[in-house]
Amino acid sequence: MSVEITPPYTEDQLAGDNVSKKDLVTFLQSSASIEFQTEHKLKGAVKNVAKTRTKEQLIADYKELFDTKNFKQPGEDEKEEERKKKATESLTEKTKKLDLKDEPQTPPKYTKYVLKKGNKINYPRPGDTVLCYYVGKMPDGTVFDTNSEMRAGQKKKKQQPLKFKVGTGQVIRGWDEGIQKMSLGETAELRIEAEWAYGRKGLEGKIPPNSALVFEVELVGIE
Amino acid sequence: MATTNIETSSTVVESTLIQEVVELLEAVKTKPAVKMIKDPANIDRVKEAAWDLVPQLCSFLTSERELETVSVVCACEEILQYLSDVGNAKELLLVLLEQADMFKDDIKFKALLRPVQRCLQRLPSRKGNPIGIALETLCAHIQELPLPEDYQLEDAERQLLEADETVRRICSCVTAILTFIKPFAEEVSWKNRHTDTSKTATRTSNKQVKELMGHLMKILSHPLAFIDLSVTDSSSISRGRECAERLVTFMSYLHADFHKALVQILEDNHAIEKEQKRTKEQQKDSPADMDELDTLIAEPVSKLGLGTFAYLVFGENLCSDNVPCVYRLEYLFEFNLPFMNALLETPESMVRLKGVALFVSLLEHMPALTLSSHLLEFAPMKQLLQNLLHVIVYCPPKDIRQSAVKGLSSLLQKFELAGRYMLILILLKSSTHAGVTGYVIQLLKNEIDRNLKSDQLNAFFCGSQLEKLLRLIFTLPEGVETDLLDQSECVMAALNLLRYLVLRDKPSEDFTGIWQQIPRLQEVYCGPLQTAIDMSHAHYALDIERTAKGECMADSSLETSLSVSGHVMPEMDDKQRMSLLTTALHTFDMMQSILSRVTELIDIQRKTQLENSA
Repeated sequence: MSVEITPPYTEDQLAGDNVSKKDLVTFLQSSASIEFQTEHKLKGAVKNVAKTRTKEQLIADYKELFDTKNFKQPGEDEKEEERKKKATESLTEKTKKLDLKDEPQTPPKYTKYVLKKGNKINYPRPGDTVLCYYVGKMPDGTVFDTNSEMRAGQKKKKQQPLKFKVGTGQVIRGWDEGIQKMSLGETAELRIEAEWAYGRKGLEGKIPPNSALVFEVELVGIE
Repeated sequence: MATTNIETSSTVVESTLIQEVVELLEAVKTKPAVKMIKDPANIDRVKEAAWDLVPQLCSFLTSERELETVSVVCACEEILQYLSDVGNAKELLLVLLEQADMFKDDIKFKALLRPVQRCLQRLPSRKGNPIGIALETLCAHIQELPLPEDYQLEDAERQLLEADETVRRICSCVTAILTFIKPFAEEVSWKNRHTDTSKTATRTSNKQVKELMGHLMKILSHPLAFIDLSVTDSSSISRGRECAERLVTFMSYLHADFHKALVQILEDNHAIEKEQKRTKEQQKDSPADMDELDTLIAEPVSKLGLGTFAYLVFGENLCSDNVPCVYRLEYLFEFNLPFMNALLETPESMVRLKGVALFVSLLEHMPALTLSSHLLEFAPMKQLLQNLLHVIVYCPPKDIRQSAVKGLSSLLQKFELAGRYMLILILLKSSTHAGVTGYVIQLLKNEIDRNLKSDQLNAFFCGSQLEKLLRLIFTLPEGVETDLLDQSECVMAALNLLRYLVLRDKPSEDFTGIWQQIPRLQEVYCGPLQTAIDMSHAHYALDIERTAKGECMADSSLETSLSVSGHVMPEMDDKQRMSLLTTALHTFDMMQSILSRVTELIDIQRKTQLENSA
C-alpha cells in the first residue's frame, strides 16, 4: 500500500516568511516515514528540531521527501510509539530494580530494644533534624565511639549531642531507619547488622569488616 | 610639683639601669647582665624599667647576632622571660606585641613567644580578646613565611624536601607557634570545659575556641598545605608531619566532633561572605562606620586550610576518633567534595597530592555500587571530575597522576550501574586527551564484559544506551585526516573494544546490539580509518626514506621551534628523528593489524551464522 501526498507549499511559499521552520517540521513529522525522519534528524519535539536545523536544510528535506516519496505508512506511528514505550519500560524496569534495593519492603536489618520510653507523640520524620546522645559498642561490649562519656564523679553528657538530618542518607542505614521508630526522650538499643552499618569493609582502624554494631541511642531533640 | 620630681628621678634610675644592662650586653658580659636584672634588690627598678627595656633587648634578637654571639641572644631571652614573670602583664603584653609587629626575624619571633604566652597567662582578666590579638600578630609572621619551590618531586624523592631550607624554617617556626598555642587550646578543651558552666565563661571559651580554630586553619593553609605531611616510613616521622599531628591534636581538644566543627565553619563562612558582600555594596553608597569595620575583621576560613584539615583527618586518619562512627561513607564522600576540589585546584604538586590522597582514601572502604547516579548532577562532583582529569593529564609527578587514574577507576566501581553509565558518558564527552579517552574506553569494555557475564543483562550496557556511548567512541575527530599518532591511544582502545565485541557477542545473539551497528561502523569508522592508516603510513615511510638520504624536509625551511613550559626544546638530530619516525610506523602497523583482525572476525562470525542458519 503506497501513500501519496501532494506538496502543501509551493517553491515561492517556501522561500517566503509565511512558512516557518516549525510549520515545515510539523509537516515533515506527520508525513515522512520514521526512517526518513531518523535519517534527517527530524525526530523529537517540534521546537527542538526547529532549533537545530536551518530553514535551508528543512526545505532540502522537504524537497527530498517528495523526490523519494518516502512517506509515512499507515500504522507506522503506532509501531514507533510501541518501540519507544518498550525502550523506556525496559529502562525504568532496570532502574526500578536498582531502586528496589532501597525500598523499605526488605526486612529491616536491625532490632530495636526500648530501654527508656519516650513521649510516644513526637517521632522524627525524614528531613527533620534530630539531636542524640549515643554509645557505639561492638557486639562484645567494647565501646568504639560515644558522645556521652561517663567519667568517674561526673555527670554524663558534657559533650554536645550529635545532630543530623533524618532519612537523607547522612548516617548509616540502621540509624536512619531506627531513629524514625523512636519518640522524643526515648532511649533505645539498636542492634544493627553489618549490612546496614559499615558492611563488608568496615571502617579503617575502628570497625572490622562484616561487623554488627550495637548503639545505645537517646533521642533528646527534634528540630 | 613634688610628684613631678619623683617621676623624673625614677626615670633617671630606670634609664641608668637600662643603660647598664645594654652596655653589659654589648660587651658580651651576659652573666652580669642577667644577674643584675634578676637581683632581688633591683626588682622594683626592673618592674619600672620593663616597658623601656623590652625594645632595647629586642634589638639584640637578630639572626646575625645569633651567629656572632649566641650567648647574648640567650641572655636577652632569659631576661625577657624574667620580665614576663614579674612585670605588669598587661603593659608588657602591649610592648611585646608591638615588637612582634615591627619587623620579622625568626630569632625575635621565637624569643617573643614565651614571654607573650606568659603575660597572657598572667593577665587578671581576658577582656577585649587579648589572645585573639596576640594570635593575629604572631601568626602574621607564619603567614609571611616563604613557601618551598615546587620541585615536582615523586614518591620517595619527597623526603628530600625535609632538607630544604625553606621547609626547615617553616617547620621550626610552626613548631614554635604550636608550643605557644598549646596551653590556650588545653584551657578550653571540651574534656575540661565543664568546670565553669556560667554563661559568660562559656561565651568566652567559645570565642577562644573559634579564635584558635581559625588560626590553626590558617597555619594549615599556609604553609603546611605546601609541605609533605604524609608518613612514608613509619620508623621516622618528618618534622612537617610532627607539626600536623600536634596541630590536629589541638583541634581535637577544641572540637569533640570534627564533622560538626566543619559544618559550623562552612555555615559561618557562608554568613561572613554574605556579610562582606553586603558591606561592600553599602560602602559604595556611604562611608563605612565603626560597626561595619568590626564585621570586616572576621574573615572566612580558607578553603585550602579546610582541605588540608580534611586530608589529615579523612586521608591520614589523624584524630579520626573525633568523627562520629555513624555517618555513611557516601555521605562523607559528598561532604568532602569541596575540600577535595580546593586541594586539586591548587597548582602546587604538594597540595594536589593531598587532594588525590583524600579522594582515594574516602573511596577505599566504600563497597561497590554504593553511590547514586544523582551525585553526578551535583556541581561539586562535576567539578571534581574536571579537576581529576586535569591532574591525570597535566600534573608533572607521575605517581600523583597514577593514583588519580587508579582513583578514577575506583570511583566508577563505587557507582551503581546507572551512575557508571553516566560517568563514562561524562568522561567521554569531556576528555580532550587521547590517553584519557583510551583509558575510559578500556573501563567501558570492562563494564560490558561484566554485563555479558552477569545473569541478567543491564540495559545501560547494551542496546540503544550502549550505542550512544559507542557513537562517541567510534569516530575520527577529523575524518581521514585525523592525526593518528596523536590519537593512537584512543584509536587502539576503540579497536580493541570492537574486536572484543565482535568476538564475544555472536551475530545470532547480538546481546550488545553491536551487530546492528556493524554496517554503519564499517562505513563511518573502519573505512575512513583504513584510509587514514594508509595515508599516514605512506607519509611517514616517505619521511624515513628522505631522512635516510639526508634530504632536507620540505617544511624545515620554516622557522619553527617547540617550547615546553617556557623552555625551547632543541632541534631533533637525524638519529632522533629516525627513531621517532620508525616508532610511528610501528604504531600504524599495530593499528592496521587490529583493524584487519576486526574485519576478518566480522566476516568469520557472519559466515558461521549463515552456516548455522542453513
